[in-house]
Amino acid sequence: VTTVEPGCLPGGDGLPATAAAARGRVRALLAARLGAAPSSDARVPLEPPAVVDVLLVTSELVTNAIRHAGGLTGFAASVEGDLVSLDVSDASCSLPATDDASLDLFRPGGFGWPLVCKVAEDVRITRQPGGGKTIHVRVRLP
Amino acid sequence: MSDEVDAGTAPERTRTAAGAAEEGGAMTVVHLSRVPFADWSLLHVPVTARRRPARAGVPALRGPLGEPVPRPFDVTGTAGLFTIAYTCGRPPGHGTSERARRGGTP
Repeated sequence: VTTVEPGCLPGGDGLPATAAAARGRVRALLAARLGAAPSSDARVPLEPPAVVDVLLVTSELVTNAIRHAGGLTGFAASVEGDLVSLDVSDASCSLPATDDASLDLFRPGGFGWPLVCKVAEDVRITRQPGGGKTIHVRVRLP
Repeated sequence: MSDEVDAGTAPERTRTAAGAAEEGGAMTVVHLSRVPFADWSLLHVPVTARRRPARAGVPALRGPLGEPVPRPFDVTGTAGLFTIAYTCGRPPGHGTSERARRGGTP
């Protein structure tokens, strides 16, 4: 199992402040897992399709936590076999919207959750005892 | 466009694309060859431009596109809403799809 949590990678002190920072951590994790040299240069396109899906899910979950769920309170990513696990915690007990009304291309973030469910192997949500929730998502690599 | 497109950067790009559409050209072309990654926020850019007056035409997304950039359009099934030129040398075809990019029939 290869895992990255706050403080485990260069630039990984604390929680990622932005979705871009979270993607950077996942990129580094996957680069190590897939045997490629990690690049800190986001302009270097290195992602095969399955890695792209992991980054899309990371981006959506972290963006939603920061913008709509009271802030990011936890972030962890790991790889075991061909499954990438993402655990993203936020301060809100509200569950992501799952109805068709959320599928609004003109509202930022309005359609990301259904698509997370579409590309993920499985999705679970656990409520935190002190408030908030953690979204656990697994995405399969090819 | 250059650099990554996500919720933090998409609003500015959306305004730029919408402004270009309102200038009344025959087509709004969004150059994505220097975009290494885009999340689903990218969809707002051409979708917003598409809502502009009909004279602006259907927005075109211009490559060459790395693997990450077309993925949001593929996953959402919105690739058919736009003209997507996956490579600079290939003539844009309306509704070009993932299958077309991989050698199938557009």
